Amino acid sequence: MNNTKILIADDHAMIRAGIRALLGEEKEITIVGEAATGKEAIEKYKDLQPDLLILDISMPDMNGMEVTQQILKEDPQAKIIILSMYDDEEYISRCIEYGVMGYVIKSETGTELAQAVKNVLVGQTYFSDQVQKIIFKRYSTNLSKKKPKEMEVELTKREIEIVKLISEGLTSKQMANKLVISARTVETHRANLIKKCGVHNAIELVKKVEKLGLI
Amino acid sequence: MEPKAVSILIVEDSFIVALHLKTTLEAEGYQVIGSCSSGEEALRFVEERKPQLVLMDIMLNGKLDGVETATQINTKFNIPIIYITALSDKSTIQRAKITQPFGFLTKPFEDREIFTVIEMALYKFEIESRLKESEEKFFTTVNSISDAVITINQDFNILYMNPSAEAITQWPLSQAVHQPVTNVLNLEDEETGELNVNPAQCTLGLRSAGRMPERLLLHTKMGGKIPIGESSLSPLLNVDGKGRGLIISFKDMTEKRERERMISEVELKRTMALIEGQETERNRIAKDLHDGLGQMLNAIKMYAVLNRATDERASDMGKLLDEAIQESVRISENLMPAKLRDFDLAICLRSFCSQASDTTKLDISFEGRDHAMAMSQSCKVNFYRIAQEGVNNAVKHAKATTINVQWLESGQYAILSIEDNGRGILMEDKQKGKNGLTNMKDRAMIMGGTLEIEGDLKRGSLVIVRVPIEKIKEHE
Repeated sequence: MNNTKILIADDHAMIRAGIRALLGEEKEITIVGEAATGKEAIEKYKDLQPDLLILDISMPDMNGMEVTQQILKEDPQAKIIILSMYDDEEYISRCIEYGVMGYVIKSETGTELAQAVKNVLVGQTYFSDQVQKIIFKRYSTNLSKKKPKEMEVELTKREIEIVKLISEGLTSKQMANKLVISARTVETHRANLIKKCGVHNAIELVKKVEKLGLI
Repeated sequence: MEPKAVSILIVEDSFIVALHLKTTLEAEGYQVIGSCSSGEEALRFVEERKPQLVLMDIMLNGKLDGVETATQINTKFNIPIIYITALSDKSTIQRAKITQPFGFLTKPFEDREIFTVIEMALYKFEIESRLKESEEKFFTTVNSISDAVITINQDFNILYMNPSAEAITQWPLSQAVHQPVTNVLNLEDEETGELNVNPAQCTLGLRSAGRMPERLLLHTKMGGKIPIGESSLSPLLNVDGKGRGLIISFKDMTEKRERERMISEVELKRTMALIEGQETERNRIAKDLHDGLGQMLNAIKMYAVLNRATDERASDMGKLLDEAIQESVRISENLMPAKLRDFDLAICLRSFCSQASDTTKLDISFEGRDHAMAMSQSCKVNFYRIAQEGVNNAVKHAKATTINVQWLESGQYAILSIEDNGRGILMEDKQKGKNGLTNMKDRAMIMGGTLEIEGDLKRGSLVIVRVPIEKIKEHE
């Protein structure tokens, strides 16, 4: 691994300087360029053909996720590490979906970033400690939330009440009177229920809910 | 009755009769101010001297006879006339009758008879004048007030309409008279568009006054709709106190509604500006914190890490810096979640719910499609804030343990609902606009939507924001 070319894209000069300083310790690495906006990052990537792009998400004009998509569309082999302040699951999973090879949160830089650079350059992925924790947590919540297929629909108390009344043949107006709520609210519940249960009409709805054993 | 110095004109072609009358009347205290022998002369005299009473012989010298003279006097002046006549043929009396005389003296007559007829005439004249006056007063009042007034009888048929009522309903009185009131006063409820019973029919038979409901639309004859209100229904009573109809009065509320609408529009614009200003400011501060302070702290940390080898306290400093960075991110996120910039509403809501669930350890779930429709940033922020506020209320005030946020794009509406199993939103809070309810309502309103809140102990509370999809597309 000699003389690896790296491009840094971040709208803050201070951060760019910081990354430069951090990576400057590695002798075989050359920072070939810096970009302050998303568009500049794409242009410089084309011009400089770096081996690695360290990319921020929050940038003026184009965010890091869009830059990632654009670059990978033209160069599927591109190696991108996201270095962002965002530690939300949404950003992380979206970046992974778009094909970044590493994700490091800014506040953990230092050894994490250096390690990420090393891994990605040899073709491995690298997700920092904190990022891994976030991904794992989401994965485990998803697992624990996953119910047997039949039970995938969760209904609120009101919704169950409404389905019961639908099955008794009441009209929206009658239900509204009975529950002392507005007819519009009943309509909202109905629409929600039909969407939620993936059915097309009230009859299918009642059948499905009965099948689920909710009433 | 003491005869007063009433000024009298005698129109009589027989000098002898005239003189006798004059003497008799003056002896009784009346003031005879003139005596004419022809109709023409009498007209000139009346014009000049305006007597209070005219004694008019039907047979006169000159072209005009007494009846013709009386007719002319009647058209110009309001003076009581008494006919003196020897004639008693039916056609003459018929002719004389039309001029509405105040009395007849048939020759030959006795003196006492004259006084009686004169006093009767004067009395009748006074009563009639008073009646006329009060009638005129009444009619000018009814006709000139801006309120519409419609009078109907017991069969719900129109008896009378004043000009304001004619103008509002576009029914001319001549056509409206005898029509059933429902034809002319064709009403519907402004909100529901329905009205089965005409409110004008409800009070009928009752003796007490009432009013029609507010927010009524009147269908005019030409098919227009005019908002009316501030009505009153008063029974039309007979002398014996029995109701024989109803007086309906109401106002054209078009201008008032327009004014109200303008005021609420101004209010809405003000609220919109306020909320948008607030969000812009939050956004700016969030950005400053995130991109300014946060990045600076990050940079500082990078350098601190670089120096770790040379300074032992650097790792402590690093920890402090981490906390500072996290704090700046947290404050920034609270002010304006960065996600709102980069993701659609459904993702933001889902993420918000899972984060809220993590921090509160409560069951806070999101239901809805994976992606929400495209919308303006301000719409997205408004929906998001409402959800935030709603969940916040459910946790803090309603003490809920399960909260469900739903996003639905269905038909013509986008619907955000927040439902919980807490102790319900108290009506008191709802009325006072407590717990950020006003803010939620304002946000719903500036998107062109509505916010409904309901709640009770058994079912918890439910907030529904409903915005027409068209409005959301307009904003975009």
